Amino acid sequence: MKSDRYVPEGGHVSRMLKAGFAALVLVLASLTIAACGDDDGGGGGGEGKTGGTIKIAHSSFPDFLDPALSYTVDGWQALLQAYPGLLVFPHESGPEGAEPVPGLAEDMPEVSEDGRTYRLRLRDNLRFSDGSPIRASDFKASIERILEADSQGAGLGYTSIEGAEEFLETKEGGISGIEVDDDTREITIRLTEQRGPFTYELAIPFAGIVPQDTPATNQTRNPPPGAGRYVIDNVRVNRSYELRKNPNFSPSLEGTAVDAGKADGFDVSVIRSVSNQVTQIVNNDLDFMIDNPPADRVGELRGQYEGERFRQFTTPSTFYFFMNSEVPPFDDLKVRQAVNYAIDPDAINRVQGGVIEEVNETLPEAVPGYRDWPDLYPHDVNRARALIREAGAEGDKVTVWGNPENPTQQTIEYYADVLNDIGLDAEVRIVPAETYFTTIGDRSSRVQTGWANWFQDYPHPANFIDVLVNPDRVVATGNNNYSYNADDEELARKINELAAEPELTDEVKDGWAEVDREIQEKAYWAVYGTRKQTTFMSERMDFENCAGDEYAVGTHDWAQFCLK
Amino acid sequence: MPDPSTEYSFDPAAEVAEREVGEPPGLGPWRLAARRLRRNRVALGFLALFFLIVALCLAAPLYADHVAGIGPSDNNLTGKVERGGEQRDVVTPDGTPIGPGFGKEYLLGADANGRDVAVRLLYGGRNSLFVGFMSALITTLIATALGLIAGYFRGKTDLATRTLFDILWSFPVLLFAIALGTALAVGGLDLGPIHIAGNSIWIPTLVIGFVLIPYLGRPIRGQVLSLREKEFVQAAEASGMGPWRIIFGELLPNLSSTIIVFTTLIVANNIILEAGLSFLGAGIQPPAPSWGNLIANGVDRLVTAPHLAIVPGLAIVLTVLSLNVFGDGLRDALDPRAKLRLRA
Repeated sequence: MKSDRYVPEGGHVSRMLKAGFAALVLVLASLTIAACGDDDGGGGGGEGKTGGTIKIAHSSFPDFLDPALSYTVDGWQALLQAYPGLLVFPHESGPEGAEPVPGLAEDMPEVSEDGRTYRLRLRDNLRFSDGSPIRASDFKASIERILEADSQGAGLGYTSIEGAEEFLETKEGGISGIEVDDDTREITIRLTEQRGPFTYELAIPFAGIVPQDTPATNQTRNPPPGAGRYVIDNVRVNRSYELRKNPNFSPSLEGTAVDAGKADGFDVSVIRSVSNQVTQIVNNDLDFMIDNPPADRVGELRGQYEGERFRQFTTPSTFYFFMNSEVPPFDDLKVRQAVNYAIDPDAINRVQGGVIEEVNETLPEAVPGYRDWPDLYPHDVNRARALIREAGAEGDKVTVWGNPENPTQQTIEYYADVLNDIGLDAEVRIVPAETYFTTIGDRSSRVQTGWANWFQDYPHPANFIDVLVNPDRVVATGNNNYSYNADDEELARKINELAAEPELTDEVKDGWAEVDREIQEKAYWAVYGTRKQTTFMSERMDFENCAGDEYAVGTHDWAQFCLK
Repeated sequence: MPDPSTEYSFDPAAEVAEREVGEPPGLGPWRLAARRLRRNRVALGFLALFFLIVALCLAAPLYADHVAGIGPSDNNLTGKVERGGEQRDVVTPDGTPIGPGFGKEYLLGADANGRDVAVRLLYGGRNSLFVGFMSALITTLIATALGLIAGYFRGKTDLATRTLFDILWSFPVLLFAIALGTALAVGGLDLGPIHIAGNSIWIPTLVIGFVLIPYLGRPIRGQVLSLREKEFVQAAEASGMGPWRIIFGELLPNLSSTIIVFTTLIVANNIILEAGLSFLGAGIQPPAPSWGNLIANGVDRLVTAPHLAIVPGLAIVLTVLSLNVFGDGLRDALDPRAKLRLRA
């Protein structure tokens, strides 16, 4: 049933052509165009009408509308449509969209035997949305821009490129490990060590290619040109922005995985109240909301619209309370274990409106390397209190960080109450959602504990464990590792070895599962579950064919959205 | 033959009115005002309502300890409560909190965290009233001092003060308060050796007290400019009184009725402003309750738990209404212009 909603895109069409069914496809495509009208060539060959403008709401403005800087689901949902990289994820839901395919590159990378050198070639006649040509050197500049801007993306594998660490530190001389030739369009990337998920990291928005003269500063107000099917335009920070069809879309990208997008455009606005968003979708004034509806509307929506305009699905995500092991009292293992014992996933599920599925592991079930480990820390408040007493942490002041979004704030208030209950002296600190992750990701802020979550960037265990808890990934700013466990060299060694493995064999998956268990034992954080996500659309939308949910990168793929 | 009591009257109609209400001659201004206020039953009724609200809020710890049995920040997400003879979830597994019901526990229902709304309403009232009163006090003290100094000394002092008022006044008050509140809520405030934490109740108190200074300071300055030309000030100067003694001994008493009336109305205004700031996340920081952040927490659950927003909303309405009606009554009783009409 679920696969009925998956919409085949351009990549499938291409394979069918190669298989010798070109004539049949052309006839069918002609019939489709005739039936739907208004087809401009985008959107691949899937069902659903093309054209029209779709209205989408955020609860808060994305962290950035800049591919080098954004690292949130909200930001990526827009950026994925505008900034393809050398590789891209196909615009298809489910497993079909989970493996990278050539984007601006002609083919998949040619990887050397030692797994450290990647060779790619840019397609011919590529141009940015402003009409300027795309050169191989734009790729190099785009990767350097991530590091120059001290982006959170620096915590990914880009620092595994030769010379990247030095460039990150000095911001001078470029990254020596990327060699490009604008004439032949060839790109060679040399890594300091083998890195299994590197091809995935070439396909996410961080590696989206922008012109080399783009300043290495936040370009949200005036996003740079990209090569995607859409262009981000008319940005009014904290209020709205638009996605319009790229007027200079490269002909050489037509029919590729980049060539996807049924709607003419998207009008995206910030509506703070999720309840208002629900009401506007019910009244067809809004077409789609990125966040989940508030708990008290879910029953109403399920009763009236289940299967027609509403459904829920489990996301490959991890929701947790982070604990900074560089800062007292969380530098003490007993305190971190006490927190793990103290939190009650059932209570958290209730405060989050019933959308949390309890898990203890870092890796979600859908990610390779997941193992259903016995719960190390069953809910036991008395045990937690005893551990706090043993650690001598009674009365220690703790600041709990969160943002004002519903239900994050409610969850944080619950968490602070739990910490007070076990003997700590906790207070809540709320900062705006737009700057929350930047704030807690700044090592000098010395944040003690708070709420965090992680949605899969790509289906690889490194995307969770390497990014979120590898001690080697602790940097000055833009951290994703809020455990700040920089001194755990043994854990770093294990994670680095696993991340270097080119294939996810059973042995490698077992290795990731063991590391997952070690993280639980060291209680670097308190994982409480994975979240169900809602797809709720207006009557105008073709929910059956174009829901675009269960997308491998984030939660929804707007390129698949279409009107009836 | 003229009546001696109307000898200095400029307003025969007011004189008639005075006769009708039967003001006895020879009463001092304060006793006269008290007498007028006593006759205003509506104002007194709302004053009683206000005192009742204040008393209930002050009794919040008693209610929490001896009736509800739960503190204002105590989460109870997996607990149960008896309703109609059966045990029911305080918060259901799908996140719906229990509504109002008859009983000691959860009289006004629970919020999304399973906290007792009645307890948080009373504690929230304490915080909202504290901010309202203390910020009004700050506004009144600073605005009165600046208005007196600017109006009496005039010249460069007046120019500097007036410019300060104009600068503050040029910002929309709510936006100014939000900007200050948001900035200070993160880093706190350092006043010399004193550090005020970002989540302290003093942050919204100081912010509101500060942004409203010109709203009281300007009218006071205007009145001082007028009073300064009166004979009693010239007589005081001629008798050798120093400027500070004239300001505090002669001018301030003549402004007292204006200040009292304004302060009453500013308290009501500040309670609304605090609610607005807290609603927008720039006021009292959670989990400490205030009427504003209680409404904010309830807005997203208006369908299944409307009481979460309605109850604190009603509390604000009743408090502000009682203060405004009483403030109007007080103004009618104290307004110097009324005296001018009657006795000038």
